[in-house]
Amino acid sequence: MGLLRKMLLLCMFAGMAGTMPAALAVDVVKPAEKTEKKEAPRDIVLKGDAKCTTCHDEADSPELLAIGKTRHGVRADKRGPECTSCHGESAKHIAYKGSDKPPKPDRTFGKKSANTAEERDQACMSCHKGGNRMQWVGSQHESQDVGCTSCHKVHTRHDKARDRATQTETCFSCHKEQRTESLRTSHHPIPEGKISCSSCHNPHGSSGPKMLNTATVNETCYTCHAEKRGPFLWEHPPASDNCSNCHTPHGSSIASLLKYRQPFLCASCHIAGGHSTTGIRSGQDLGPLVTPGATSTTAASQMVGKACTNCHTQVHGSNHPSGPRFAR
Amino acid sequence: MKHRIIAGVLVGLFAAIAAPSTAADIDAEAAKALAKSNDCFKCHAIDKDKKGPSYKKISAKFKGRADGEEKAIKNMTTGPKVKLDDGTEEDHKVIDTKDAKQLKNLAQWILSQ
Repeated sequence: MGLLRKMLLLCMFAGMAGTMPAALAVDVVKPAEKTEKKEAPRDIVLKGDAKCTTCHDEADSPELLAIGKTRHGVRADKRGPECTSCHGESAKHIAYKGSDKPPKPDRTFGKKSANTAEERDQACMSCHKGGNRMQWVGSQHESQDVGCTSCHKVHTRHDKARDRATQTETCFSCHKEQRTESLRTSHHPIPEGKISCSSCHNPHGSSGPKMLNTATVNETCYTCHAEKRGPFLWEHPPASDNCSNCHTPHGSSIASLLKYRQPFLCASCHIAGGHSTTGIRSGQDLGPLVTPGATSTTAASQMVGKACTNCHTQVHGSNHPSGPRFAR
Repeated sequence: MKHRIIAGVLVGLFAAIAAPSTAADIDAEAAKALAKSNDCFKCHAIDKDKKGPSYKKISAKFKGRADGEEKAIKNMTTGPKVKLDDGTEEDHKVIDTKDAKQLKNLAQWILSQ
């Protein structure tokens, strides 16, 4: 019995001794297992964005990651940018360690950006310099330091400036006079969303006046109002010269976007002649409608309260053989 | 005697209702806004480790500890040295508020993750 007990005790010791290194090994291995193997940061949206998204991820600034929903975020397109394509390598910003704010990236685009408008635009112009933007350098916007990001938002799926329905919000934030005009009774269908500022203007620069899409005012108007283009047998020179001689483009309180009411508008040129308009503004020399004993009416009084286009309907030009007065 | 029993029951009920209200008192939006404005999310995320540990991890470490909230606030307000993943150390950012109510709300929000 004593021998048996001794053997059993020996076996127990032997077993314990055998398992001891394993138990120790487990203790040694355990902490190693506990320390999570940290993977190298992966790109989230753009190629090579890991160096930025390590900090600027969905927890910090989800709005930045929305660039993945835009054309800039199409990774299959090899021309697509990296973060650093626009913001610069920003080595100091990335390498900064400390509790204060890190130095700004090389190129930022916010309102508080320390970069000049030209520096900011370079980020865009390095790719987007052809086509409609051919006239950018020296254009009114460029020379007034209105840069690309003054109007465009890059990290968003919906860029207001590129949507016809919302584009005017962007333009009217500076061009307030045009906003007021567009809300007058007679207006181009801008508030209705049928046309937008870029239907007529090229904000990226133009060789025409007022940054128009074409070389002249009339050429721009004729893109829609083709029936006014002619050629006419009988031309009305002010109409073929410049539509804005009579019309104001953004809106007017007078029908047909006219600058003044008729007959005053016509009277600004047609002072003497067939229907004399002398004194029409001051009210002088109008006289009674029918002069007693006279066989004809007073020409000036015919003008009062009437619109010239009641008779002269073809005011933009006429192709009728009898149309030199634009009445047919 | 009867009144005493009723009073005791009422006090008990009131205590039972009032006790869990601490969790509901946390203004998560305000806490997140404060964290965002202080760039906390640049190093911490709710459920993933960045330069700093996730809030879930911090919560797991301090939850249930009486001094958890106090330690969290101390970390935010005194800027102690913290160890980063790459083995280097840097000062923890000192939060840009001294409003005890805001700090408490943020600490509670972190510990509730």
